[in-house]
Amino acid sequence: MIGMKVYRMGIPYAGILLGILLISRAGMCKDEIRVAGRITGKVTDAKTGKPLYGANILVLGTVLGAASDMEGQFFIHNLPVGTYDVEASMMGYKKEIKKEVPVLSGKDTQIAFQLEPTVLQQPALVVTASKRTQHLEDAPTSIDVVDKKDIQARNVTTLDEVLQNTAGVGIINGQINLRGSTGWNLAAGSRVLLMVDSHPLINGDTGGLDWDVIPVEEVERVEIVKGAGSALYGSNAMAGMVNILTRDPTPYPETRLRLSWGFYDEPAYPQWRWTDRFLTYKFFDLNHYDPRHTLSFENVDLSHSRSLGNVGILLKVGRKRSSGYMENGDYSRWNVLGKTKVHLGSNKTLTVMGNWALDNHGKFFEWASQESPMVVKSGKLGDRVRNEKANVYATFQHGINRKLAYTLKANVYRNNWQNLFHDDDSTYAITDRFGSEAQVYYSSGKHSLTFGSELTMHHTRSLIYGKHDTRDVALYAEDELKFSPVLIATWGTRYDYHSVVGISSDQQISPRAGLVFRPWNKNSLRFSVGHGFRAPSIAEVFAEYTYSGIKVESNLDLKKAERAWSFEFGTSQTWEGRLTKEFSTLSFGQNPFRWALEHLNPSFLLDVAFFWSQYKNMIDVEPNLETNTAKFMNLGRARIRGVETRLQASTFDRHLSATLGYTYIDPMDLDAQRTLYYRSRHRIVTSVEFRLGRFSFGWDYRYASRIEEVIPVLDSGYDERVPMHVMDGRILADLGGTQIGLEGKNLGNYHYTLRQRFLEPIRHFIVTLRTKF
Amino acid sequence: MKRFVLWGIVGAIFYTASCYHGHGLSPLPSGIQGHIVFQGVWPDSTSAVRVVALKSFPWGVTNRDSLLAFFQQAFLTGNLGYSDPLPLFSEECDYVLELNPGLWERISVVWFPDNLMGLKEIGTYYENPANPGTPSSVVITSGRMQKGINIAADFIHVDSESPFLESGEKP
Repeated sequence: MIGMKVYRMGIPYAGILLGILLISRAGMCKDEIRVAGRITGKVTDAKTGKPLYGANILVLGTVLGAASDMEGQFFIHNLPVGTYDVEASMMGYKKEIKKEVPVLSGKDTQIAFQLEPTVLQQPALVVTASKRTQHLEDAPTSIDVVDKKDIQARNVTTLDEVLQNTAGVGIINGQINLRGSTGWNLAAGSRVLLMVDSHPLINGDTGGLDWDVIPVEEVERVEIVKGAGSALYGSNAMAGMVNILTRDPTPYPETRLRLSWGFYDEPAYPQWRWTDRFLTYKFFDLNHYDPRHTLSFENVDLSHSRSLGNVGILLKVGRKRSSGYMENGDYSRWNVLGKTKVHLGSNKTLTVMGNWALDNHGKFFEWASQESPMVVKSGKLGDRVRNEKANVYATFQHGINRKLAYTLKANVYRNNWQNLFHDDDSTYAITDRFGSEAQVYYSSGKHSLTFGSELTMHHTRSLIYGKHDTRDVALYAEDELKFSPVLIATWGTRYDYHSVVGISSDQQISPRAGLVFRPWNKNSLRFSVGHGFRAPSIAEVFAEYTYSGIKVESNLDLKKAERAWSFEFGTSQTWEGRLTKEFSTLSFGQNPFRWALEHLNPSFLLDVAFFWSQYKNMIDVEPNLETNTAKFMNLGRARIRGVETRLQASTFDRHLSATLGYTYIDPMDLDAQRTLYYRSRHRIVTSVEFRLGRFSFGWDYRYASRIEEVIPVLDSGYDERVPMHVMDGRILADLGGTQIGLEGKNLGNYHYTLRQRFLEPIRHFIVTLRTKF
Repeated sequence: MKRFVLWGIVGAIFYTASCYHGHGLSPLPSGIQGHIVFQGVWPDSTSAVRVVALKSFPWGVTNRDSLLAFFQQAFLTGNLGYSDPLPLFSEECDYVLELNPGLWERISVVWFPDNLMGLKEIGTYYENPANPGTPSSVVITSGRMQKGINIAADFIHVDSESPFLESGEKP
């Protein structure tokens, strides 16, 4: 029987491989193989003449491309004889296209790119929105990109701390909200798919997200795609995707070290000071000062990267420790990562990454009282959770010819946690996720076709969930049709079969369509409509536990997936001045007014998006006020609509830059006629960056309006909800290969909760040293 | 360049100030709240009327000067809590008085003339007003406003000799 099941599961893959074979025959003839040539060249900075490492080179109208090495060199193999348009792009530079580059049989064609620096920092290429490399402006949905500079400037322990500075992104207890999508489902059931290098990283039992397993220091960039993504990614992507792309091994030997140390300030009210371990409390009393006793935290990350022939290797070990700012707030973490990228010949690469994380942390479910919000309830002191995670993935990419490429992916993710509570040290869960995917990308003329198949299995053993298996099989296809350079249409669909073995099964069709229209230079209009779904997670169906004071009961009747139609209409306009350094004749001291006029040079990007999601059978927590319990249920109809505005501006030749994002949502449970739980109607994020020589100064501010509705089972006659006002500031000194940073977080020492009875971090300061050699 | 830096600093300060919104959540207030009914005629010499809570009361002391000295001492040592001035010349009003957790022996409505030493208690809290007995004490718990501490005040007591209505031995 098992053999038969495996055989059935393999049918989609057999179809994909057959498709590859047929299309490869159609896309490539014998003549093409015989007369293949090569394009090689170099990418340099037009201003400095220095080679650019990591620039993307694409042969337009084909699936082929390359990235420049540390000398700026690139090689594109196996190009049939003909003429091609070749594009080079890199973040922080204007893209450049070389038209009609000839390729001759068996010969190299040399081209040189000299990229002009730009004022606005926008990536040219993204990989998440359509499951393939595409130009950012060609994507029909809203995309935000957080790059490594943003991450490294803000010294963070987990990546979610950075993402909450992005427009429309809110984080509650690790659950990511894109435009109010998830709220807070007791840490179960995310409506946003989290991925690492395009491999899903969703917790197999809760359907939640595990941020502590992500190696922050090795992240190259994060792509945040807002809007229905189920047409390509299936369950969990119904409100969008967050794809974390880690850096590749360097072609040269490089060792990186990050050391950081920080401490917590006192709370704003003396009566909340629950210990004498706050540093500021003892700061001037050196007789009693003991650094080992202070409420502090430290991170050490050490990595080494190099290439040995065609094999690139990246190894990293990380250690994080914190005493926390409240009782049971401490943690101790280890993280070990290994990544290798092997070039197996022309247009063939194999990437394998393994990541192991061990986390032992105190558990703070809820505070004792608002009089003592940093103290756990009686009898909970010392309760801990031990959590071990391992994630391994492999990606094989092969560009067969100029029209056809395919990718094979496989991943395993194990999550193993155990409660070490005073009254319970036996509750545990071990969840294994096995995923695999075959994907084909075919580009011909005006069409860019992506299709593939996915197979996912979850195996869960737990004291609170029981023993359960789930199976997911999916087939998908999407086509991008370029009618002209100014009009691009996208359409596709995905079929998903989901089963909880022996209990229930469900199937979904998730279509999506999009249109991008660029009526004039630097302007684009986009429209997309898509269907998304999310199958209930094992925890939502089977779990019986108490979380944050809420007693959750199992609901074996929860069998229906929640579904939603999502629409988005957006427009973006860029106005970009040119860098003025080359023709500036005066220094600031000679004539400040004229200098300011010469250098003012404002540039901006304005993006406005209207969005509307209509949910059916939405899965949410339904309280029972009589029994003071709650359970996950299919609620019925819900709607989240709103508008989002993003402004990115820069002036004085990038010395001063700022971003502003405002998101308004109207989240309604249409059946109960109430606002959905744990949503803020207004959210503002703003950031200002000021550079002066080797120094840069940064300031972030985040606002979220008061959460209107919360699960009412905790109602105890008072209400601790307030709006969120958080500001962070930082100073960074760049001394060549070494950076020293000082950062203050929550500088206003603003106290707030995002879920009941849990005080978010108080003011703290961090010193960081980052160096490479 | 110096001006450039200066403008940057000014901008940062302005930005910081615009983002500052206090400290958000605060410890929950504890104390008492209730309703006061005034009887009699408000004296023209009234300066203020407040609700006053005393942590302890010198039962058995009847001497006017000793009682005033006790009152003064309680004020200086923090063993006394008092409300904002109640609306003058009203017939009734609500009040809120924040107090630290613990036992408060006496809750009073106190009339203050221009001369503070002429203060007079014109009403005190009885748990059961129909059968008053001695003034009732109140136990304040952390983070909780105790409601229903209602007091009847009568301006007829303004003319009495003792600053407190009842100060005999507590039974």
